[in-house]
Amino acid sequence: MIPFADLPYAVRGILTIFSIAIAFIGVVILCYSTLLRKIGFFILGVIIFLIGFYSVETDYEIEMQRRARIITPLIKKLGDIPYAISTSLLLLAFIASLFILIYLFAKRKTMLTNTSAKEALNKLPSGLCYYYENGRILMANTKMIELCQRITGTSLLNGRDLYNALENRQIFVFSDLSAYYFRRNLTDYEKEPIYELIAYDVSEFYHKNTELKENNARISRMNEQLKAYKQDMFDSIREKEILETKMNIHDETNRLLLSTRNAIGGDYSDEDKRGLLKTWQQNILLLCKEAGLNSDESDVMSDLSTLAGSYNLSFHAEGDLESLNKYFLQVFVYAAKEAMANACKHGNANNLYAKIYEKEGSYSFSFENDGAIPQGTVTPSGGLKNLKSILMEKKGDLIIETTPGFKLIVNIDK
Amino acid sequence: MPYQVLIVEDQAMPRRLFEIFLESSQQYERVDSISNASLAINIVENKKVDLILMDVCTALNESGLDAAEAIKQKYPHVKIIIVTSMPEYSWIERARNIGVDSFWYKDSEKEEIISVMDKTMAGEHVFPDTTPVVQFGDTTNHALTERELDVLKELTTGDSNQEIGDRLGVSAGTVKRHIENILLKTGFHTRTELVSEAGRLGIVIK
Repeated sequence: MIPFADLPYAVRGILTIFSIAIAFIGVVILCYSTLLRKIGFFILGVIIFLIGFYSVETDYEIEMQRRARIITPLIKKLGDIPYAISTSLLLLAFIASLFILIYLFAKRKTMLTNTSAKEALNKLPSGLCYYYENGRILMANTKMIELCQRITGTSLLNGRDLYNALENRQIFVFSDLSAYYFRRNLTDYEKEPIYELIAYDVSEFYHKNTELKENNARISRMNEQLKAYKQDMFDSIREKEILETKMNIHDETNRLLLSTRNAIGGDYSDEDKRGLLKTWQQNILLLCKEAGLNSDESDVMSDLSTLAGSYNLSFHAEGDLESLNKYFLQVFVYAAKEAMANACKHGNANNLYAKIYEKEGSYSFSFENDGAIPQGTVTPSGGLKNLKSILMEKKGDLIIETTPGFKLIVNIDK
Repeated sequence: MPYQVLIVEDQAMPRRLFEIFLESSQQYERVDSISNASLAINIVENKKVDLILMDVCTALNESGLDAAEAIKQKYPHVKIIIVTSMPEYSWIERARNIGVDSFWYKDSEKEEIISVMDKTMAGEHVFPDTTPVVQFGDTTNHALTERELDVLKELTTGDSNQEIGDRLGVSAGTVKRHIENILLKTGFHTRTELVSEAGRLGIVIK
């Protein structure tokens, strides 16, 4: 086997160039493996580089020492290596380095590097920022940097300052009407606590929500108007019924006029004429009533008098009923009803006396009768118990006095 | 012996009319006349009453139908004729369910009240086939479905679609669809207009 040192100069020159190429590839492998954090390939790259480097170094020393006619033992040994072995080694190193390089290139396209991660984060439409407890920024994407500039007017230097600038607002609306929802989470990085601050673009949602709130407020106002209208509906129905009855009576009167004209000129029997007369009397009576429409208060007094009559009682009321609206009149009627039932059932009374007092902020109704006074305390039961429950719901109360006489007192807030 | 009749009517003139009818009849005698339906049961408890002429909308917003229901539960032998001029869609059915004996529209041209009273005391039940037809915008009250009338009635409370839906057991979207259908049929532009007119005509009363 021809030693490596005895190869022709030109051949050694080619092998030297080959070695330089191998060293270069080794350097490239070193760089890529560093970038991709592949320790194994880094070591291989070192080996390949060293093979190429020392191959060049060895050829150089052989040539220099030959020219100086001095050959050191190490160089002599290296020079005596058969050229087949050294060439094969170089060839192997070259092929291996090529494969490694191709592999690393291919891997780089699919591997997630720090740069690619940062690039991806910067492309997010949401803002993202990680910072330590003292506010020192660990990572922030361009969106969050932009948002910080818009909120604070300064660059994103401290995450805590940015968060404080939000002033506990979860949704921040900018002057251009864009809206961002900020959320902060506590997490950790390399066993150290860090904050994750995320800003979501919720502009469309925010504006639709605002529009919805305005619509709901408008509908609520309309609903309140409808509720108020409903309160008057019964009055409206009442007036309509009155008008219809009036119209019927007036139509009836017209028919009567025609019938009467025919009766005067024609052959009506005495009985028919009496019938016409009676009808006239009835209609005139009704038309007389037409002028006087009953009020709620007069209806209440009339009804309670009628009811008292059914209990063989006389009902006497004192006080200003006219000041009571429908709500309080209802309470008064209910209380009077119970008072009458009690006066009749337990007291055998002949008269029931009701008084209406108006106090500041409340009304008071009292009911006394001239019947027997109950012995001992009276516990509400039956109708009185129901009355007490109703009054409690309406923010009122029921007081039962038995001395000097039986007295029911109803107090109700205005 | 004449039948004892209690008149429950809050309008003075119709009440007087009924009183005149009873006075001119030998078959009926007036027990009492009141304007507040909630007092009717007390009078029935204290006096002999065979028949009640009961208005629906009475004084202090007391419902004649509620009073009729209470009376029928406790005194089923007392006959009750509901009298009204309102074309409210649900009253006839409710009156039947309560056990009311007859139902009469005040402005009915078909039958006089005395005739209805005679038939009722004879054991018949006189009910109109349907409510009076009332012009309601571009249509009539009879053109609305029962569900639409239910929704229209709830609309008068002024509550939201969701609240109405919860009461009727349907979604807010369904309520909205019914309202849209009613508006389309009637030609009204807003629910306020709808409710205002429905209330004025007495088509729905809550």
